[in-house]
Amino acid sequence: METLGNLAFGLGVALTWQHLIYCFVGCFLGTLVGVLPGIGPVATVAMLLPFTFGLGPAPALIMLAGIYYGAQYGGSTTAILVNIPGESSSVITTLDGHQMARRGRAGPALGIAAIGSFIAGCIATLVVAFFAPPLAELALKFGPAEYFSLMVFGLIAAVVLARGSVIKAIAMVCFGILLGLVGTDVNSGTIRFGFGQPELTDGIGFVALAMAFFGITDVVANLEHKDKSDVYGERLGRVLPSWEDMRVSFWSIMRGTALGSILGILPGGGALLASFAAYMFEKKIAKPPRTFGEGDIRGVAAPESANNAGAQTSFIPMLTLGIPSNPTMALMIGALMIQGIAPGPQVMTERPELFWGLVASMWVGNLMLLVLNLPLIGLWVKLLAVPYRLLYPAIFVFCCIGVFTVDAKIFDIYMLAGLSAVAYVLFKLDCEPAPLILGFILGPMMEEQMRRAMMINFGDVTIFLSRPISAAFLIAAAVMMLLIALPALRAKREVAMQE
Amino acid sequence: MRIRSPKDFWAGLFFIAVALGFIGLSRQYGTGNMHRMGPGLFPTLVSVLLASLGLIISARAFVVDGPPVPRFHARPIIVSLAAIALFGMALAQFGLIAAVAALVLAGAVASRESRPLETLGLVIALIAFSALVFVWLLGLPIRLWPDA
Amino acid sequence: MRLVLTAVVSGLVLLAQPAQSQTYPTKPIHILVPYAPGGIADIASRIVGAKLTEAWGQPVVVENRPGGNAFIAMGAGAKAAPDGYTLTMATVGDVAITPALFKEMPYKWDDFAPIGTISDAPMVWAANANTPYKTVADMLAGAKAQPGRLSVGSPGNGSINQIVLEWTALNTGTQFQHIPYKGGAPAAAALAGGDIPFAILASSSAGPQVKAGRLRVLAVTGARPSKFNPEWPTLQSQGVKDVDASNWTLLLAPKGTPKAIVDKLQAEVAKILAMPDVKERFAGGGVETIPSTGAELDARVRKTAQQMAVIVEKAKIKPD
Repeated sequence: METLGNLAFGLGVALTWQHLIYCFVGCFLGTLVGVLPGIGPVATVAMLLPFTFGLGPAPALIMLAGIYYGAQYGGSTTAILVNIPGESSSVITTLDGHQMARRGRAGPALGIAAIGSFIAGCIATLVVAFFAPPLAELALKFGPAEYFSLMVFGLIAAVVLARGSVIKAIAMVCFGILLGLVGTDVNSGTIRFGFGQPELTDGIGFVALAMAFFGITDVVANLEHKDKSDVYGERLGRVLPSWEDMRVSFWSIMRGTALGSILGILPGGGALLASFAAYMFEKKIAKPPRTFGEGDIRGVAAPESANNAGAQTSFIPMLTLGIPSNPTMALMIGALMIQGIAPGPQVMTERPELFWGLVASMWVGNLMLLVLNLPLIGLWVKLLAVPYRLLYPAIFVFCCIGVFTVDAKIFDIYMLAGLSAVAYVLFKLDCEPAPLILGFILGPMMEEQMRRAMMINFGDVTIFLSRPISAAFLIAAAVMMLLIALPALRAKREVAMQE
Repeated sequence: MRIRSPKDFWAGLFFIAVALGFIGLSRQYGTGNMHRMGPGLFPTLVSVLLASLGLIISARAFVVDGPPVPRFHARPIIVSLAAIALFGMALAQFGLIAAVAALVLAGAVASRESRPLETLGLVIALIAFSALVFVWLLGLPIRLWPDA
Repeated sequence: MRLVLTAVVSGLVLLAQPAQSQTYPTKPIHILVPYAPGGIADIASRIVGAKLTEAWGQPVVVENRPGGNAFIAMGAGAKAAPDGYTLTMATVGDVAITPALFKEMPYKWDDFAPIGTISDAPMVWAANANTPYKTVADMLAGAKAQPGRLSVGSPGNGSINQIVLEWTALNTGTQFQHIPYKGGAPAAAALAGGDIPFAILASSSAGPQVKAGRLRVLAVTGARPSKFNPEWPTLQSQGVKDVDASNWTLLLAPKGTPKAIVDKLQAEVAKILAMPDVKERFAGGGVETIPSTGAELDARVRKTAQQMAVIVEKAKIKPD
């Protein structure tokens, strides 16, 4: 009951005119940078930082937070429309979202993404309000052993992403891991596979990789078809999801929200991990008819809900521990410090208007985003009616500028070209990009944590089984492996019998 | 012996080649021990796994039927890659306006359907949009013109 | 947006006048930052940049060029046209530690004309609150009892934090196990969660955890106690000889920048750093402002670089 009272108090803070305006500005800018591929919330928050000097801490935080979760909303738009993940956490949305768009269902895909995000945002806001301190404790329990086992589980589950050959998917995961290892090794400081290029010391840029394997390859593939104007089909279909769409997606949204809320609290790419996990889970358990990979609306609803829920709960470590879980959060801590507030457990008690105002503004912001996004869908869908010969050069422009803005490195643009060549070859050979992307992200984290766990425990491998959370993930990974292997073995037997 | 699934065959070879490359490069990094694993250990292990997977994929291509490698269309891919590289060079030398123009003009060659006048209009529209949104509204530090 | 408008307006005004060196600046000034947004170098640039804009009516554009061990931004800053329109905000590590670690460098200290020191962030040697170590003496005794078995986290290989660790170990004849993390935040989280018993952190990231009872500060790493937490003793006062390090930032122009411009920048920056509201902003992050002249900065960098080179060599810190 006390929490409800606090929430009401927070709403009182969030619903002042000043705060509403800053919340709107944040959501609007966030949607904009989310839609523009490459430019992420980090760059935007950094840019606005000097503007927040003159504001109080509450409006500053409310505006910056709006940018962050607004970007999660906007990121799905280009993923669905033109197969370019605007944010890393919307990579997974391209799988079914873009397929829906190609089948004339861009509207329902965008609609369910917005509605799913809204529902997830509302629930995750309550999670933050009610369970922030215990969830923060859980996040602290994750040591290197737990992270390692979680990554093992994630990588094995990545195979579920495969539409075609399982073994090729595993190979793509490995290739992704190797690409991810390029750059400075955290544990030893060695620069691996850098070829003496200072630009490679921090590894291959994620944005360049994702754009090469999704955006650019997709454009080239479209251009190879004779009738290019027909990419999106003639009929554009309805603009909003039908009740049937809503009914089918409802539990996917709920499951996505639950997974997102939990994974979001883990520092280091929680929202991204959440969207992958939600998709893989959905693909495994969803009731038939299952058309994952060919435009299943549940394949959009679950990951989009998950990444938005994750974005919301990723505030928990920052608000309750003062530990940022991603670069945007680190910036927000910077913004708070400039205001003379050291983020940490005491913020909740010493500055309740800040904590509860922010929590309430998250809910207000999600409502604003829904109101902002739903009417825009009609506009986005119309965009697809633009002839492809005009659309694709624009895609090139946004990909290139987006890649450049990440670190202002010209090198990254050449990298984009090089990676696109590789992506094209692999596309021609029916090797799917999604497992590669997951390997790229999880692989290096897995190595880092494994080696750190071994250092801290002086080479004692039993640590992975003696810590309960770690052991649970490893057992789950083993079960998952069996589940994947069984149908494959059965299929092989069938093939053998046919011959 | 006949290759029955060319796509798999070539994919397998690709993976083997990548894996061998990484194994070769990893040899310069130490492998360490269980307590202190070296920077070379993990990439070598993953590469060995990838090479074996590549071997299986290629070998299976002799047993299982699969589709042929689709026709390779030189124009879209080569023009696209060149246009992106051109964008990079133009951005470094002459700023954003020239780079966007170069990218759109060169990129238009990738499609046989492009029409000259339309493309010019598109160049102007995209320059205006990028300058407005990226440089003016978002204030990203990208220069528009060549340095004086 | 406001910056852009200011740029347009002042640009128009200036078109009417002939460009002279006294009128510097006549166009936007860029500050290159070798780190991602949110770090101290970035925030310092933004605070100082905003004030420079107020003073001179010219926009100051902060350009983050992270990565490559800061080689990318530092190299670009060293090679920029020496006209005062491209400056670099470096940290002590970039000018005093990196040169000792790498054989081939795209820049050297002599490529720069120093403007002045900006900010100084104290660091602390902290222990998890559930460990039995209450003082530096406890810790050193523990390290002597089991050499190399006590783990100390840091924000990365070659960080100033790691230098403090190795410096302490060298001067007390002890051995620790260094555990590098990818930045200060994960190191702080690992220490708060009890993965490791010790870490060397920025005092600003340790402070809230100390209040929450998760961490205990054993010592600050500078020669003097921190202004903000005078209750924390220094390493030196607890018997660790000579160790004196903190994470400070400095503003640089490329070598060959006209002296008049460097002096003008130096004077203005010093004035800004003395402003009460600027001091307050930095203090919010647990950071002090430390205005200086270019000559003072030059001397400090040379002295620190020498110390660091000795430690790097003795402790065999290598990037590979």
